Amino acid sequence: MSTIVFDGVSHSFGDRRVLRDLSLTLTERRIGIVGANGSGKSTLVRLINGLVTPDAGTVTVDGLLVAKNAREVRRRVGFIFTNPDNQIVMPTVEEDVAFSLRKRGLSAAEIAGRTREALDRFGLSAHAAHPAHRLSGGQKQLLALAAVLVGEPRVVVADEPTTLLDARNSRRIADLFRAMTQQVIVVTHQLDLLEDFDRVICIEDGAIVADGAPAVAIDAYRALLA
Amino acid sequence: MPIQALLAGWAPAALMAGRLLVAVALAALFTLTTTVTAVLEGFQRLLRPFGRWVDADRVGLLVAITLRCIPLVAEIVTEVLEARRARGTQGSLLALAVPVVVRSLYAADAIGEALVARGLDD
Ligand SMILES: Nc1ncnc2c1ncn2[C@@H]1O[C@H](COP(=O)(O)OP(=O)(O)OP(=O)(O)O)[C@@H](O)[C@H]1O
Ligand SMILES: [Mg+2]
Repeated sequence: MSTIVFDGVSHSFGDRRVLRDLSLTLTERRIGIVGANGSGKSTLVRLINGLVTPDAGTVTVDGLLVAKNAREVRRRVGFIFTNPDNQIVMPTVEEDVAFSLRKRGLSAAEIAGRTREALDRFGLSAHAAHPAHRLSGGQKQLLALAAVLVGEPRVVVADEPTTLLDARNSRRIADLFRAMTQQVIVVTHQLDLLEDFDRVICIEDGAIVADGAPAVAIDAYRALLA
Repeated sequence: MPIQALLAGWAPAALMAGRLLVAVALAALFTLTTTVTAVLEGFQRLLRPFGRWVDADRVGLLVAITLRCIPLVAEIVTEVLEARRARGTQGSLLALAVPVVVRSLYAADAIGEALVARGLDD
């Protein structure tokens, strides 16, 4: 597993302080992040692949300073967004998966082969040449996953990957996360998704208020909501 | 269209026309996208002699991403129209354009972020 270290991280948007002097070391295989709307969860996970650079403090992935080695870090850290519509950048399904393999020194045949494998794995082969926008919401999120995993990241960060999905599709995505060999960091409001995770962190107003076994952290979160 | 305009006033007629345009654009895109890879390869071949001045790969990418954005914008337009209808409001073209542009900009922002996350930061 990779080691992700937040050291004294603070961040503000304008004069709103979103993260307050946060220090964390993440080494577990499956980590969940919970917290109320606006508590800073998305900002926290965006720091991991450098989509946000902190005002103060540092974030490292396997010792690589994210702020200095963003490109290398982004190869190791795949990111799944809430809305797959914004994540799919190519017009057709197979092109979108192949997009993740650009600039890696692979031959066209290798790219085609890996793309085919990834589509197969996520049950999207029949849609390979279809326009991505014609997929259902669940299929779009599957495509987003396929496009991230084809790049063989060591860590997969997902910001509310099941929020827009119906119960069945969200279970399917949850099962896929469970089966992944990668290290997984998931932000979610669907607490049942985290029951068998190794560690759950609860954020409130930009600070960690609970951190530990799922039952403990989720109880703390429920108490906050009550 | 003129009959529509006489019967229901110009605003719904304009909306109808807009929706037709979107539908046509979507249909065009559908037939287009199946061969988008071919089009892109053609583009790149075409631009290769000018490789010193233009990066064929980048131009191809730009075209592909633009094509990808057409259905997204079409969907935004549809949703804005639906929201207006649901609230029973009927305003000027400007009142339609503003939310469409604002939401398109947000979507563009999010797609830009996804591009960065997926390794397009050169
Ligand atoms: N790009 C930005 N510009 C300005 N303010 C921002 C930006 N991104 C987030 N914020 C603000 O920072 C705060 C924390 O946002 P963040 O998205 O991290 O919360 P969150 O815990 O992910 O919430 P949610 O559960 O609603 O997704 C919010 O008050 C939000 O308005
Ligand atoms: Mg969020």
